[in-house]
Amino acid sequence: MRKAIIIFASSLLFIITIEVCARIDDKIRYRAPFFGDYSSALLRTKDPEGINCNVPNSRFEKWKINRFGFPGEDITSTKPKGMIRIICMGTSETFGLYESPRQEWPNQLKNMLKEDNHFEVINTSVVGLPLKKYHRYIEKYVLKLTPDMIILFINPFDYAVGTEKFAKRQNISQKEIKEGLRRKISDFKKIISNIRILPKLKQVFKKVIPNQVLRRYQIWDLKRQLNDLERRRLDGSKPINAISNESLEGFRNDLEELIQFLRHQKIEVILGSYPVMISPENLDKHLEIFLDHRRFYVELSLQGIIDASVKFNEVIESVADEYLIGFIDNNAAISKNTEYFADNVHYTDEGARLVALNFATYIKKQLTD
Amino acid sequence: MYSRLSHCWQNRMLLLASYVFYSFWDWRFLSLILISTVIDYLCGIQIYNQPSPSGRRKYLYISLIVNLTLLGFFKYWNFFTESFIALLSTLGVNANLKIISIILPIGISFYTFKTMSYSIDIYRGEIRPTYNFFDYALFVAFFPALIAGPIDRAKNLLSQIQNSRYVNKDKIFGGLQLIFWGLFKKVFVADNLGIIVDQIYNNPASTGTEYIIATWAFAFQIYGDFSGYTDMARGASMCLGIELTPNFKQPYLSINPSDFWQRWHISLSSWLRDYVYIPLGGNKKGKLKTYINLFLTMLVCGLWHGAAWNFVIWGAYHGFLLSLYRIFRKDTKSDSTRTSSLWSYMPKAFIMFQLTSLGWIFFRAQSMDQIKLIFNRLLNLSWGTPWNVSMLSEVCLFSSLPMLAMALQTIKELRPSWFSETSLFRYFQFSYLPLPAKSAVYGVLIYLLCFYGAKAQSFIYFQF
Repeated sequence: MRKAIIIFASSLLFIITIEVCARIDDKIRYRAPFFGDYSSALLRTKDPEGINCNVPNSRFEKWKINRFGFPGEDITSTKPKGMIRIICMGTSETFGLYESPRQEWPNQLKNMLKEDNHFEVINTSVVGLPLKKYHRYIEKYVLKLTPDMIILFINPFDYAVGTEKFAKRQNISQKEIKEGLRRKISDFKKIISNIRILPKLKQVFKKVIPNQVLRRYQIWDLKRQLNDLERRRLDGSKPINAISNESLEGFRNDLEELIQFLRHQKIEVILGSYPVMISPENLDKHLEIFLDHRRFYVELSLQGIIDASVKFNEVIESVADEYLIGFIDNNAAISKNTEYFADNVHYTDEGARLVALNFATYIKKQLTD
Repeated sequence: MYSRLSHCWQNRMLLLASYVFYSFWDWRFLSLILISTVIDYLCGIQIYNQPSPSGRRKYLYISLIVNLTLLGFFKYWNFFTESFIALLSTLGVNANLKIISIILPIGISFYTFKTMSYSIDIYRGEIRPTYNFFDYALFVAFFPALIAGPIDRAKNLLSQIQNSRYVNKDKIFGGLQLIFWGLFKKVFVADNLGIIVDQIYNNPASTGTEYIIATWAFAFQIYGDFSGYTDMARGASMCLGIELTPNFKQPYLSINPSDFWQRWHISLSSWLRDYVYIPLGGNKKGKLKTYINLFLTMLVCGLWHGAAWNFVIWGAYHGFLLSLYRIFRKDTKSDSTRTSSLWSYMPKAFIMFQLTSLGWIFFRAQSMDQIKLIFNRLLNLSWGTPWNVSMLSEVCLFSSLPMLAMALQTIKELRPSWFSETSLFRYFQFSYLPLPAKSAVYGVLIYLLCFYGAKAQSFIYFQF
């Protein structure tokens, strides 16, 4: 009995020690709080108007929000004389997810344009900001920076499943996060979700486990999750293979309205197409990436996701043509492989570099013209 | 399963495992191990059975010639050929000798030294040969020690292979502990320091102070790398019921060159002492001959490490240090006996560490030109040269655990009474900690290993 108690106490102490180590490590590396919740939710909030925005001066791991509520280093609100201020607006692809610190595309663009000494690049992206709210967000937070140019890097997929449906889904999850997942998740699960060592260990296992084994597990797990999501969200109907004209129209209208607003503010707009990695050609090779992305758009089949990507990008291009504004076709410029993509829509350092390079080339050309 | 097998089947299983293990690198070179094994097995029996000394000597020579030929051809052919060509060209002769592309079979320096020691020990009458071929083959190829030692003698390893052994919970637990420590030394200490060392040594623009930091880092890198491997090898053997010789005894605590070689790569230094230094005459033929013998032995030591001039110089440097120490030492008993005063001990250990580190420059440098460059930078150092503080603190961070272990060991050696059974100070020794405290220490170490361990690099001593 005594031996059993000692073994139990030792095991417990071992677990507590590595958890304490994880917290001390977070504290030293990221200035994370030793106690309390620590997740990416610390970076984001909604203002009283319900607009998604970043929490000023917040930090989570490699991400840092400045005092204006924008990702990255601090800036001055007054525009330096003679400088062209370029704003990068977008969601997680612009905010940076998998890139190394300071390697997200707006930051790489900033470095590329640095030598010209004419440009100041500011990343004002917010993860999960729907296009419908860009207008108000820019009005409230971005216009005070007196931008000269805005690069719009829009994720159109919210429209593929219907913006209201998507917003509702997002609101539920936001609410769940805010309420500490009280109703949905049991206390035990809450404790588990607060253990900091677990996500770190997950990363270690990912590195240690052979790729093939990991990939098989991921595919199995994602299929299981998708089955569950399909059952709950599709009510027996099949995933759609093509997006509706209403969705496309909705997207076009919101985009046009935003461009008109920006033009009215005398801000030059550059539009970028939205690159997606998965295509029928590389699906077998990267099935887990496709399944992972589909979790967010379970209403769409593979064909549906590809169809959405093509049609939305056509809309972006046609709007750019119609309004005679700059259009950068990132989707065509980036090869569909894991050298550039970390998942279906987010980039590696190299992918972010290509996106930045495309914009930089265009902007420099504009300047010389 | 292993512990349930009979002794004979345990050995066969280990032999098969050893050959499979070696084949993962290159199965073709198994033939070299087999040649060395068969020749020395037969020679061992013949040496023992020959009635006349000349007959015994004949078989000993066969054993030595075969082993040295294998080693000489695969490891030193190109080195000697290139050096010979260079020598002739300085004399104005254009020699047209062929340089062959030879792959160095992994572990060849270790197993040939092991087999040679077996034949010599039988010739000297110190051991009897084994008549069981499989036992002998396992002695040569025992997988934990096959690639980078320790170079265990037949007296220790073969006798354990021949006698039945048992594996219990304590041995497995102790073995796993050793494996973990070894892994920690390798991945956390050595590989992290290796990044800093490579960064400086691969950059010709590095400053003198950076070379100093990198050389200190290399001192701990090579210690963590090699002693880490040895710990893992000893741990794996312990789990199988076999105890390998310890190869390190806190080498950076040594207070003189002679002490250093009693603490660093002990299995090699004792091998060289017994089979090179003593046969050359040791210290029995006068002072001058002793110095020459020391120098020659260390030259062999350098050459054993690698077929390149930097290793020869490294060996010569240590030979020089040992000879110099012999000249100036006051009495023979002071080699490894500790002084009781911390204040007289610390400067000696510090100076010896700096001398050892200086030697590591020859060891780590990749060419003679690089050695010249580094010494040029070091000689041109001025007091105003800035120190790369962040790099220095990184080196201190990654070497902190070996340094802490050294500090504790120093105190233990100087003040053994502090660690007595009744003293609270004894809990500073890991083995005295209660299980919950041990698990907390393991928690910290596992965290460091998982999240601060560098991407594993190859073991340095695999190249030898």
